[in-house]
Amino acid sequence: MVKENRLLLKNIHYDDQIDLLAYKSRGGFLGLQKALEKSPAEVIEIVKQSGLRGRGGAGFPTGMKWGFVPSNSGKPVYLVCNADESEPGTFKDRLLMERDPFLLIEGMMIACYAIGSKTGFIYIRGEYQYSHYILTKALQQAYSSKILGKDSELGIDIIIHRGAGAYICGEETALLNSLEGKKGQPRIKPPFPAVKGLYNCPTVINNVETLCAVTRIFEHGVEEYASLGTEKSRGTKLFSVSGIVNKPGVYEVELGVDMVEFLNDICGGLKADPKIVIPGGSSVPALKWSECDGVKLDYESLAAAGTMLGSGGFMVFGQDVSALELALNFSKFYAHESCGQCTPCREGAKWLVEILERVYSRKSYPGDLEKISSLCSQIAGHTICPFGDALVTPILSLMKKFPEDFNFDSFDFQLSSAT
Amino acid sequence: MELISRPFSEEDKTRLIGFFEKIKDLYPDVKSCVMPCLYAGQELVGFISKEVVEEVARLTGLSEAHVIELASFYTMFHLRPVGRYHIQICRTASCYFFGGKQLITFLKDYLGVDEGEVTADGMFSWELVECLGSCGTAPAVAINDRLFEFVSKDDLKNILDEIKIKLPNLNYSVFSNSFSEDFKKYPFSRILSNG
Ligand SMILES: Cc1cc2nc3c(=O)[nH]c(=O)nc-3n(C[C@H](O)[C@H](O)[C@H](O)COP(=O)(O)O)c2cc1C
Ligand code: SF4
Ligand code: FES
Repeated sequence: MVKENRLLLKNIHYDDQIDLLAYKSRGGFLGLQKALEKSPAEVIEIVKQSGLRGRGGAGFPTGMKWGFVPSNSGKPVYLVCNADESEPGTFKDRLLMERDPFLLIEGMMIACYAIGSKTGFIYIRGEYQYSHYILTKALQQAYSSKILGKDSELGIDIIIHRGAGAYICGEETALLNSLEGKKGQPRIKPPFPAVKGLYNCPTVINNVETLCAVTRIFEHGVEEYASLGTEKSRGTKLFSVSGIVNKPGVYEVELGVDMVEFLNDICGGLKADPKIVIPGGSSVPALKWSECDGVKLDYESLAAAGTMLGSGGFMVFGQDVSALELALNFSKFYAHESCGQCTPCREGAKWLVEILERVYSRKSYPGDLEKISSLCSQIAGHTICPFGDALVTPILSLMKKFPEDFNFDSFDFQLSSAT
Repeated sequence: MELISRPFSEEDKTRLIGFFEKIKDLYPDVKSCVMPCLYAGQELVGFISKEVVEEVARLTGLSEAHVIELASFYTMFHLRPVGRYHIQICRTASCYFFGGKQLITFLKDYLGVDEGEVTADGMFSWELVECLGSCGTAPAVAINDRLFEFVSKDDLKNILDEIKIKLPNLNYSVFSNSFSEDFKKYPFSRILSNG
């Protein structure tokens, strides 16, 4: 029987989440206090030891990212919290922001201290008006209690900035452009944000969940945090679960729990006969239910199963959902959200929708399916940002695993360079 | 794109300028104020009018062309008037396959207008939107700035019928960072309802 391990989520059931004193009475700001007893370099070292990897999707080691910030650039350093959460199937950052806003604020303060930043931005998706409302209330309190602000002990400012409906602004460099008042289009890397980020200054970008985990690492001690999870995937992870489970919602487990047990013991089991599992948001390869046996929810095990942990947007679809219709649904998402600066992505995404529509309405031309695979290989790897790969991934995996749903019997198409 | 003119009242213009003055020192570069100012302008006028573009460009020092480009890039800004109540139905997978599809059919029928059009009385318009971050409480619908979760066809009908009678304020004001007291019986968030 697997159980949740609510480390980040331990206080989400309190209704006084925007009351600073209540937060303190639950051990709030202990993590920050402990971090301040160390030097910034030591704080970075501790985050490295914790094994924490970015929870926004890419899984990059957080301590290492912080370590890339040059200490003597002579320019201000910025921290940016990525709260753009728009990956289909993902809603865990929303829960953290709505239910424990100070946890994020504290994590941002620790991060600012470590990287030598006086200014943190929270870039929050425009559709999260309510999360914005809660965070704004919490920030107001932090300012009036002089925990934040120029005249506070650390002199840190945190500014919350709203996006306005563009998935691509979740990509970190698109986010920076958007925050600078430009169109939210990704930049070519390098230079990496750690060196040349917001306003051309050194910048660290971290996901909401990552920063919340930082607070707990210091509050509980790095030994305790690092003892959770597996050897390579340390700590806990939030999963946003939707689809045919009996109890959809956000769950926090130690990395490495068994996927099927997770669904049965924690998510209340399945309502219907399962068919398709997507464990990490729409941009990761889909699994057939029969492939899920024995798969563990951690970076390595999911990679070995041919998919990814991604954002932890865990979707389960039943036998009544056709893989073709799902591929079409996702392809429309990507066609709508392409920022348009790379031709293969912009045009390819539109063509994919068109062809999938034809196949779906059973009006496809001979060779259409081959066209999809060749289009996909022209998109993946040929674009400025990973969106191009993300767009072909669900389509290719669904086609490969459920060829019967695409109205043809044997489908021997090669994944070629597309993956 | 042809912009629509909707001259500001003196009061609205003063409010927009006041908003800009209040936020401009938060950012190292005033150009960062462009999106907040577009939100403010849209709240005052109802959409991004020619005058909003001109004023936001003047305040932020950006070209009007740039401001228009931004307003078209970000889907939450509207370059033409939308209904007094703008309904956004999530069309992404976790909603679509779990009740969302039926909501879309119902809504089209109920309003009698196509996506992007405004009803003759100016009350409603609707559009399909991508994942609203409420997949665990699907299907999700947003009306202006308020989110509704676990929305059945009947729920949606009741909500719309009630809107017609009560004309609630469902906006999130960027001036006060607050919601109105209207429609409080519908929770702001149901993310805790499961799990
Ligand atoms: C198309 C695209 C969309 C993304 N969306 C998000 C997002 O909504 N939230 C997020 O935290 N990271 C998102 N990312 C990942 C960010 O680029 C970045 O890796 C992350 O914010 C870094 O924080 P972390 O190391 O704490 O995960 C996205 C990446 C891509 C390519
Ligand atoms: S891959 Fe697509 S989303 Fe990414 S930069 Fe190119 S056009 Fe924009
Ligand atoms: S799919 Fe509709 S809210 Fe996520």
